[in-house]
Amino acid sequence: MDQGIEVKGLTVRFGNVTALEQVNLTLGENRIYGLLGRNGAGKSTLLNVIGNRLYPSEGEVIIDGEMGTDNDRAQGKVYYMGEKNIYPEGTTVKQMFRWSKDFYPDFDMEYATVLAGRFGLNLKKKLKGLSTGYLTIAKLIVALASNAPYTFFDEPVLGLDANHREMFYREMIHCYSERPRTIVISTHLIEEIADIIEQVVMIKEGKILLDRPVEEVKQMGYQVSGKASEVDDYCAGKKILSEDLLGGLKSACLLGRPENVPESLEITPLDLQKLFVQLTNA
Amino acid sequence: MKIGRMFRWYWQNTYWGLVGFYGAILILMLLGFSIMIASGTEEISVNGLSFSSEIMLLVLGIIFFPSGTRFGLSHGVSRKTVFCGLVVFLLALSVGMTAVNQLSQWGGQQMGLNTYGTERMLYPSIKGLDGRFGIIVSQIAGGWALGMLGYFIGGAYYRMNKICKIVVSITVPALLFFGLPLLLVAAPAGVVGALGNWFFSAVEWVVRSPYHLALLWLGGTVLLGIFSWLLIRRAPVKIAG
Amino acid sequence: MQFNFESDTPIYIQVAEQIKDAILSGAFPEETQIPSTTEVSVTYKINPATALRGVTLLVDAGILYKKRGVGIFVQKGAAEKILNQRKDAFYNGYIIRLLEEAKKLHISRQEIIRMIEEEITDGSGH
Repeated sequence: MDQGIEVKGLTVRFGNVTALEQVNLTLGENRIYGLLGRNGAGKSTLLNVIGNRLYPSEGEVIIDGEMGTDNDRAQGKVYYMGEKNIYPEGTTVKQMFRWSKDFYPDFDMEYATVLAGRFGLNLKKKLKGLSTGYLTIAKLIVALASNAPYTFFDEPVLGLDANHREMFYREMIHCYSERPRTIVISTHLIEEIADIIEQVVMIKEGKILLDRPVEEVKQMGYQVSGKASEVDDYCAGKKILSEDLLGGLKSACLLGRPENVPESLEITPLDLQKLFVQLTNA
Repeated sequence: MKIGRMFRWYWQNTYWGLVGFYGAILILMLLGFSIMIASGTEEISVNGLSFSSEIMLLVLGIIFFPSGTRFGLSHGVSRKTVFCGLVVFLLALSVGMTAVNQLSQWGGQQMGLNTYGTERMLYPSIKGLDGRFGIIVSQIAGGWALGMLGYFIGGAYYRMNKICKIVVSITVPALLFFGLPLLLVAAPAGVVGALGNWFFSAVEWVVRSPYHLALLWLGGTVLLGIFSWLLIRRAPVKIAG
Repeated sequence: MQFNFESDTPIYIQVAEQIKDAILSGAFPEETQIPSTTEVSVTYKINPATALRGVTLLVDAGILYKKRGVGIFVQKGAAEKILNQRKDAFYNGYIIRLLEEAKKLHISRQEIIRMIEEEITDGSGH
């Protein structure tokens, strides 16, 4: 594969714990991926290995046709935005931007400065003096301005208030539209990104559960509600993901497409969040 | 090339430390000079510049393993480049500091301070340009070795988990301060004698020429370099703790 | 414009429908440029590819056209085209359904017409 990232047979072990097991994944050019999984499912581990921050126990990562692990050139195309603060004591926001420019030549300093203004981030402040929210904002700005062909956002909106979350999504879409690249957003806040992502990758206990276009995933199931006995009749023999009973009213989440639904029952789409919860609970 | 960028990053993070270091040295020298002026005839000795520089390099080594690994790996730099960049940087820094130290020594001498006292004591027979060159080489090698030692220590602590850290922090000093003397006391006289002879002949060899010392330092650098590489080659990005 | 993310209709179709609404209402006059896909996707926080798909749908249907290097414009006669399409949809969606439903409830033809006329007079009476 010429362009894109290929992950083959990736296994990561920490002592007795297997964080990732035989993971196979392809990240194509210029797409937005949603990497969904519960806490501890292995999302960060996966992104960390691709970004060369973690050494794999088994398997390989191939970036644009060459081996990705410990490869200066390949890694120059990957930017990982994560939770950990990896800067030395006393680093200021401005210094953080400058270093990003040093190591990522496509880094757009002007854009970063404009974004800092929009978010109200003081460039002169030291990173350790920033609140959780503003530290995240600083990292987001660097990730957006990096123009790295493969940009990973790991829990990008942690600690951000509603306004800043909005701003981030809009800026990300704007960036992506003007200058497409491959973006992976790893999160458990699925609702907010459901209409931004193009492909859904679900991870559960270190394994890939699902890897499909978002339109397909949305069609994977549906919800049927109405009088309990009628819902039960309809659901007989079908793959039920979950059921909710409120008095005489019953709601059931089913896999598949609705067929021959009685008039008295209501069909609603299964949103991504619900589907995710159901699939990762099973 | 990324090794150049990594080198520059190391330098950017050393700069202020050096300013502080040489600032302190300058103050000490001026202090010595003032005391000399004030007391009149007494000769003031200012020594240990190269020793302090080696300690500075040791500290930098200790700091740079965790900070350089974290930063480098997070900015698309391979472990090999992070490592090589550091090795080259330590050497360059050692060269630079040795140069500055030599100039300071000479400058202090011109001001009337005794800055060559320790050297003359260690190498009484050394004279002339070749001797000076030998001392310079051994100081560069010494700085480099101490830097690598620091890097190795920093690396060991970085890779160790909490339990290991506690165990090592207790047992290593214990072995050095209690274990070793105990061993020497408990060992049979013949063994101690032989060890002692070997030790003294080794020391005698080292002090015969600064080049011998340089060789010893270089051996240490290579060994510590290998161990440090082993520590970094699979290192993850970890935050403190 | 609001997108109903709960709805079963794919977002790109909703985008197309919203643009058609805007053309009908005159918000996007004929022969004028509509907002870029970047603007649309940013404003409504959807994937630009989705926005593009909706726009492409309308370009293929002859409602919009691309001016190379400039942007997307509303085709002349687009409003009328949309109106006619919607009238057809109205007929199929409402009229035919109305008649089917009326048949089930045994409502006669005269009753249907009377109901409609009553409602219209009442409405215009306000």
